[in-house]
Amino acid sequence: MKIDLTKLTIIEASEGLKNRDFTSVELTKAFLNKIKEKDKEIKAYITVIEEIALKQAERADKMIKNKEIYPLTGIPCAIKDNILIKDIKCTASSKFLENYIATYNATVIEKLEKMGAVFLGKTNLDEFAMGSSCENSAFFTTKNPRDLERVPGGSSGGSAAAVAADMCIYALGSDTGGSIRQPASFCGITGLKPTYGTVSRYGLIAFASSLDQIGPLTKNIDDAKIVFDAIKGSDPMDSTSVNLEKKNNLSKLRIGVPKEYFAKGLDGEVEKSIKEAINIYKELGAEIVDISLPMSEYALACYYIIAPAEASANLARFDGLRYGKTIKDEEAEKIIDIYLKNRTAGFGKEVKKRIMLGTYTLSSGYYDAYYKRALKARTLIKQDFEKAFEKVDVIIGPTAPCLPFKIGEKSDDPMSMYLSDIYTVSVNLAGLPAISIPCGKSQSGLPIGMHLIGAPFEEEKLLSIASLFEKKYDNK
Amino acid sequence: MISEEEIRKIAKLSYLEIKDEEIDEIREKFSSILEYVKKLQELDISDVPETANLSKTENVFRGDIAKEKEVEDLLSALSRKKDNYMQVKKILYNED
Repeated sequence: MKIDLTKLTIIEASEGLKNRDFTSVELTKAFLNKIKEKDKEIKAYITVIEEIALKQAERADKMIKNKEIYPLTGIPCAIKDNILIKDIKCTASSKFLENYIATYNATVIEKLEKMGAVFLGKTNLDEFAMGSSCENSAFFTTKNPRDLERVPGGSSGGSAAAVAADMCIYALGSDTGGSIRQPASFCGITGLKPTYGTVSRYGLIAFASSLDQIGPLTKNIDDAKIVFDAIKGSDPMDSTSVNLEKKNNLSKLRIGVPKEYFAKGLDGEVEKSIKEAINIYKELGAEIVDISLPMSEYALACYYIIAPAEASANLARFDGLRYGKTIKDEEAEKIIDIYLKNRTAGFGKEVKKRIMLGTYTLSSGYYDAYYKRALKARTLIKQDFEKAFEKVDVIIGPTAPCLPFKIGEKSDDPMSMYLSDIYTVSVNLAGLPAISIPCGKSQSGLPIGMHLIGAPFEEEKLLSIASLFEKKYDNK
Repeated sequence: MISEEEIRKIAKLSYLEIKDEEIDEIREKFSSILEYVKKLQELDISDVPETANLSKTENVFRGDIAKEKEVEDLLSALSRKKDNYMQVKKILYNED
């Protein structure tokens, strides 16, 4: 029987490559064919780089022949289109960067390339990673492979959909307020947001620099660990990056269940599924500890001050001079005309709104009432978690309060869209690692994701605790 | 609700133009978010320190040594250039 190569995990594919069951070129062609066949419908990719992918696969095959084998050698992956690959178009799903060609590699790309990775292409996102559904892409909306009428989540929706539809083995995404974990949950796959600072952000198009973090979207937890290990590490090009990983010292497993995560606004089916997952942990011998994170209800408000404030500063670089060009020279007389006309034509509605929101909360007269207050609230949110982690190893809850919603369902109501990130944003504000893994399905067959949050730099422990559940859940 | 005047002022500070027909929608959506984030006013935070970032806040130094960079690649992204310089429109003018 011929196996479907596109269904393999990283570990399985790597075994196959090592044993010479197939070559990286064969594996890569299988994915390119799958993309041709399925992506017309799903629209996960903005750019597919077939020729480059095949060249990288040939190189990987040579490495394997020479016994220079890393866990990701010859493994085809997808990269969110806000992470730079030299000489490849990088759009951030914005009109502004429609024709922008990256002039250097992101550090994560550099690391993967050294290991002989194969890049299939760049995936869709909400413009500049601002959104929760991929509907804010300036080009098109990606569909959820589990139900084509629904959103894949966002902002790393293209990456999540590509993994879920077997159009790559794994993908990289970025997470500012839930942008890896929420789409992983919606598409029924695994998504890890590492501790702030563990993965270099050099070459990631910045949204909110104190919150952004690159991480993997994969088919299971072991794969997430492989990709995380490959991309982590301090980098002289990112002064916030560090080498601080802590060893797993788990003895008696204690899992914290915050009462605030099961309050009103949570979908009944999601709640049931998470409670069943908690029971599985109980059966596995874990101590379940009721905890409280009283600041939870303020996290989203805090996030919607801090993230737009940082975005308004980061996006000031898009001036129509150094990046992108949408207007003709004759249309501008003074330099300010170039700024105004390019920014007005280049940015989409949501991005403009967030730039303006950030400008407002940072402006004279409002700074203390909004931005400064949010920075103080952020301290309290961080302290909430610090107190909790004195008592427990991980915190469990739902990744999103709702099931994947229909395309168009929330696009006119910003607050209802923002609320889909209510459980994930606090993790970015506190800089913690967290993972979303599949834990069940709704009656209608839609995926439900469970969210496990760890203490800073305790990825190893977090992943091992997540694995305990995954093994049990797969066997059911 | 936030006033039209304020929205126009923020737009100017943000280097964005707003069309007249967009004003109402922007005011409405902007206000709904501002209304939501007002929630933070409930908190007593007078003695709480601020957390602006989570990094170790240490300087990263390097030697003051010039490095060759691929200037061509960087210049290729510019919309207007002359020799190895970015060319821009008039930067000194009287405000209207």
